[in-house]
Amino acid sequence: MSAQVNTMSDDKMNAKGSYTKLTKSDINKVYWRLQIFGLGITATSVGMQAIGFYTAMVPVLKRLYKDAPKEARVKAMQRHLTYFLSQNTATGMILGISSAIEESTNEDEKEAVVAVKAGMMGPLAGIGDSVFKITIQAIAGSIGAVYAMDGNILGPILMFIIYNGINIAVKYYGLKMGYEKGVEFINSGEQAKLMQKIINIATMVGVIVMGALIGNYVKINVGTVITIDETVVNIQELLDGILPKLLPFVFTIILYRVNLKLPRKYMIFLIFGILIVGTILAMNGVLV
Amino acid sequence: MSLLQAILLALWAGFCSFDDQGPQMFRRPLLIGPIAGLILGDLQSALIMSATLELMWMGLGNMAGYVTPDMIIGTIVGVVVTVQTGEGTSDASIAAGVAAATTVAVLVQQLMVIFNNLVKQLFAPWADRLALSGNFDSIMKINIVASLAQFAIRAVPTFLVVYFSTSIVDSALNAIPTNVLNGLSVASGILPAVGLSILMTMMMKGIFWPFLISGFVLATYMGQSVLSVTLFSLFIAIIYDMIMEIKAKQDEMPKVSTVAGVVEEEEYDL
Repeated sequence: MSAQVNTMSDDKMNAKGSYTKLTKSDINKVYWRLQIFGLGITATSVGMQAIGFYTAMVPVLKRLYKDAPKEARVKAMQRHLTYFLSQNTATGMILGISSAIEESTNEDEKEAVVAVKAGMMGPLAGIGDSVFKITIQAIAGSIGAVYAMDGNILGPILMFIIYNGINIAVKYYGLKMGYEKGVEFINSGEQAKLMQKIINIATMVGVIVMGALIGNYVKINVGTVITIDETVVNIQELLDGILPKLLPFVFTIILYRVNLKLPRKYMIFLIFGILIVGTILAMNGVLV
Repeated sequence: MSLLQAILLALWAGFCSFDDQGPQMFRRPLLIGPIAGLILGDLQSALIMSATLELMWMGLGNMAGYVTPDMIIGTIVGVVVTVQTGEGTSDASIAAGVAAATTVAVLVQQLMVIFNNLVKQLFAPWADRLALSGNFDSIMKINIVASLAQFAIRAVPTFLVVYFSTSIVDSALNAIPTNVLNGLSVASGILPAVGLSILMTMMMKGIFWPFLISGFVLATYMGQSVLSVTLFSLFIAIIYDMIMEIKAKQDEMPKVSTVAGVVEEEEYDL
């Protein structure tokens, strides 16, 4: 929006990925919020780590929406309180890129933020889990255990330094680089056109990955077995024969239809309704 | 075990519980155990016990959505038992520690199933309600309540177990039938559908349905990982963007598009 107003020197500064609306301390605040509150403390099965992600984004939103009307602020909050599931360390980078896009988009281009988040969280969760949660943790743990087995205090200290050194560095520099490179990239071209390009690509990636996430994370399995003339029919096997994970997909689509109509304040009934009915069905063996 | 030691161990367990979901700096047995050893005044046994548990539980971690045997209370109780039974550090005291650690870890795992799948679900509708206020800082309330709850959920059982005995936790959990617990786990496996469907309301447009289905089919029917689906989707996305760009250009320059249209029509006539 401000691209036309900017002077030459401003454009040059932007191209280097410097801070325009957001300040360096805003980005540092984002890091500290991610470091302290993480993503798991407020995790729910509904939005997964959405509240944690939002909490980290607050310094950015506060800066960008300082003088915005209430409706815009409500929209911004809802945008970042929707489904998010990734890995703690890798989320630094997603926060950085989201901040860069938040900063450079108009209110009607905000779908870019949602799309980029949705497209990045899945693959980065996969990389993050296998690299930081399994590999680095196992390496640091086995180095530490060798010393600790002999009763050497160096064991836990070494493990602490290796494990946290890598995690904190990747989290912090991922955030910083994500933001700076993000701003640099956005300002490198004709802004409106580039933003449309980002929206196009990110939405498409986001939608396809969302299909994969439904298959991976929603779990509905039928346990009922019907016996007809001594032939045992396992309903789940029958369904899997048609298409694996068919029920989670159909159920998610139904909920999507419901959510288009249902005001968000009734969400609590939906959530606890599913929990209660699901628990009862599972206790009777209908669901496993 | 003095009362002071029990309280310190409980505080340490509470802190580790918060850390496990937040800062994630101490979440492994080898980092949790030695501090418990310092509290008990026997660092040597604690180091060996923690290293044993670290190797035993390697690769075990709270992956998204799954609750695993509880390493935090398991480690602390394991260290307590080793220190209390061990003259120096014998194999027998390590074995006793490992036995206690695994038992308590599985017991607390059930407690965490209730906490994660029932208590924490309340945060989602609460956040939705606070979002309507438009006050960015209001969500901090949830973080504070959640942090305190996360602290208490391990601090209280740790105190009860180390100061009294494991039988208290055991009998408390026996009051809740296991089929209810299992049912709860199954039911909360459905809940991600709610979150994903809300995300869909923000992203879906008519022409996207086939692409959503393609991602789903790639992941389930063809067994592709999320990463490989993403790489595939990038390819589709770039083609989609090219088409949209051409379309935008045509809309911008009606002259060119009509000429192109005429040319196309002529081609079809042939």
